[in-house]
Amino acid sequence: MTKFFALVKAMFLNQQRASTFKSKASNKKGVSTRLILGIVFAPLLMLMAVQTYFVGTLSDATIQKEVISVLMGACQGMVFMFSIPSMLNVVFSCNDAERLLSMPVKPITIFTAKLTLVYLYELATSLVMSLFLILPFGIGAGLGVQFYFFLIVAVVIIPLLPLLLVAIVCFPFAYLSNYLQGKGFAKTLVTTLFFLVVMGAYFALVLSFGSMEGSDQMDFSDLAVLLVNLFSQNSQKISTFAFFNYWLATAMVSTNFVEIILNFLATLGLNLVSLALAVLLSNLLYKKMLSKSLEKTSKKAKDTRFLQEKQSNKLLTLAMCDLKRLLRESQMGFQVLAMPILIPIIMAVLCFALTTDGINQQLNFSDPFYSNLMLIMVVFYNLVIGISGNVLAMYPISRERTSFFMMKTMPVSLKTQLNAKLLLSTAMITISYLATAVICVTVLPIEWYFVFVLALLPIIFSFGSSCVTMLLDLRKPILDWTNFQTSLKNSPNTWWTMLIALCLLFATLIVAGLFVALYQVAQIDLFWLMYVVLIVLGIVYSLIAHSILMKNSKKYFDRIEI
Amino acid sequence: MINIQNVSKTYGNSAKKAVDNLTLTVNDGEIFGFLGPNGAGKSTTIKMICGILSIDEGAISIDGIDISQNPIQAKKLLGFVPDTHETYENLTANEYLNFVATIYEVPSNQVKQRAEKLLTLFELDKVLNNPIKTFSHGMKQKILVVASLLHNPKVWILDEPLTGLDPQSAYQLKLLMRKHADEGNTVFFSSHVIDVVEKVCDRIAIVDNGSLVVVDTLDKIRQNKDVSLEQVFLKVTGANLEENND
Ligand SMILES: Nc1ncnc2c1ncn2[C@@H]1O[C@H](COP(=O)(O)OP(=O)(O)O)[C@@H](O)[C@H]1O
Ligand SMILES: [Mg+2]
Repeated sequence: MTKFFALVKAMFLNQQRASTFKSKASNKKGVSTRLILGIVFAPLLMLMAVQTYFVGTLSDATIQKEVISVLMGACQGMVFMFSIPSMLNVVFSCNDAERLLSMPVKPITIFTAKLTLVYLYELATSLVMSLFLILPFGIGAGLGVQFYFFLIVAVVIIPLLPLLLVAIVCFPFAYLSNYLQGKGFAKTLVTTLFFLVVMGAYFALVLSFGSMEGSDQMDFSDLAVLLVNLFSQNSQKISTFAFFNYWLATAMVSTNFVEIILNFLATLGLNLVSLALAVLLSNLLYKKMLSKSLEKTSKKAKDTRFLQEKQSNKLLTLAMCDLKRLLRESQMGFQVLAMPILIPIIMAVLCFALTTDGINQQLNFSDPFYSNLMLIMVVFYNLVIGISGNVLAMYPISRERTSFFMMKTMPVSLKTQLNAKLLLSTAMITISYLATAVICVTVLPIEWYFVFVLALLPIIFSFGSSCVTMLLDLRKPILDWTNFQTSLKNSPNTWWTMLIALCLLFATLIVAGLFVALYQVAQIDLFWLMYVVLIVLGIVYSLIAHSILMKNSKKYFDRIEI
Repeated sequence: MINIQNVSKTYGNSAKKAVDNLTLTVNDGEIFGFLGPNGAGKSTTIKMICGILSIDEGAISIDGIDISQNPIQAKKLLGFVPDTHETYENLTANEYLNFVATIYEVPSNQVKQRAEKLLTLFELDKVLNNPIKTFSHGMKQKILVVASLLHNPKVWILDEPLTGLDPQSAYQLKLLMRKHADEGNTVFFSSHVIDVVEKVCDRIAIVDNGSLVVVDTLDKIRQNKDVSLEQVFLKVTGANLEENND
């Protein structure tokens, strides 16, 4: 047990400290950054809280359990989404296997310590989600003390099940991918495919769950009433689908003491059983996996002659070299591939959902109002997901890690190096946006030439944003990370990027709002002008961002000491 | 030729100077050994010469080109082997060398010939098409040496190049350094291993705590033949010699 705690502590500290880059100008801005971010994201969370509060006031005792189960399910969904990448990177990527295996520690201790580490990170997710989703409901419904006690229990328990599930699912996969050591690209591809399959299964589950009996009295004006209706009509479904949450939810609201205890014990039991299963699997496979991860097999190279490649221009060479390195590194490569593939896939799912009969009847696509509104929505989606998920543009310097010195020693100007990175990130996102646009015009009743608007707009905006995020990374790069997920994905720059995406969303929202209002009030169809205005705005934004990057990059670059 | 003029460097907001008012000239055609105990400031100096670290005070020029004023021109003249042996791990040796050839503008009719010669010398031809991450420490170091020589640099800088190499490779490297210097280039390397320095260097500098203590030819440093370089080194770096003698 002491070894276990020592391991957890050492790994946690090691990961936390990777992010403190100290430059000459002392950085005391960290606190204010978080404050700003908090202020920005608070409204979103508050909105959710208010909504669940009203659902709470409207629900009677018959559906409280169901509502709580679903809210917990939402928290678990968040944990599930966040934890797959962390799980793969922390528990299964074993980049510290060499150090760990040399220690007198059982593999099972290593496994549980790493699992605990992921759990600790996800505890934060669970806490925030519970505070803003479940707590307001309880207040609204006027539940007793026992609800608050079990809420604390719930915060602790909620991340467990999704984590263990992910761990169990990851095992066979990770075992397989270990056989692909040395074949970097194949491994990246398998990781990405795995992620997509799991995500697909998850979406399918959510969608099938979402196909609850649609209520006849659809009333969009009051979301809370609508939700309460949905819950009461589907209570049976919920209690079977989310039985694992249903038990804990019952313990939270029940008035029968025996029922409370039994349901609580059942919850504990379920979690213990999954923990036991995960540990059992780890006992069988983890040791082998760890040591296997150190053997990077490489094919017997037959060709021992030096093959000279045709020399091309430096910009392209840099971008290509960058791409090759990324794709062969499973931690980064996975992130680099997953996002561009996921963006069009989610779009496709959304498109098909939109064209189902029920919605088709409500929305009249021949009306320019609806068709343009939909186009704008697609652009918004692309902006938010594309920019905040563009790993290539978010950590262009940090990803160099120990080979960062190459950037400093090579006789190529910093501008060229940065432009090569911009080129790569823009090219990658372009493919993704184009695919999304093509899917949209194919599935949705939109004219084909809108493909240009749909692709061009996000590409321009994301180019500008790439410049900004690149500058952010130059300002405070994290070069000593070992774990992409915990060090980089949890860094302030990730949050800044989301903030940028939200600001852009807000800006485009204002422009679009003007034209929508114009149409609604005066029936003037000037939507073509809206696209022109947005494109011009995007180009101006990108040009300014690029020139700021070029002007300030040298200053920050020179400051980085290794 | 490397010209270091009154250079000082402090890391971050550390109180201590890692390099303190260092002045040094390394001439063409010589192998220059940069000696000093751990933490003396050798790597820091080398990183400033290569343009990795900014220079707080003073100036460094490579063949008369100031590294801060004109970094790209200066870096074209430099070949650098870092002490960490880190490169682009996920590229194969072959890909990496091609990358370096493009970046350093090696004439395309010379790339193959130079690469093959060096690769055979260090027996790396068999692993040429494997990713660098599958290499051992020494092999990584050797591929870095090969890459650093691909553009036939006017100034060749190596940070602790001989630690971790097997005897054959170390021997080959020493021969290469000699040859490179004899062709009129500058070879500058750091080390804390004394006997190596003793055997290959034309001139030696000893640094301690960021400052230059001695710089001269080997013979002049030793003054008389009975004193070994090791004794001089230990004396000038203020090591406590008494401790282990009883
Ligand atoms: N990245 C760094 N950040 C802060 N201090 C450093 C860094 N690198 C080296 N130092 C400090 O600078 C001094 C000189 O280090 P270095 O030049 O690496 O010595 P060596 O002669 O062994 O190569 C040491 O005191 C070391 O602690
Ligand atoms: Mg050193």
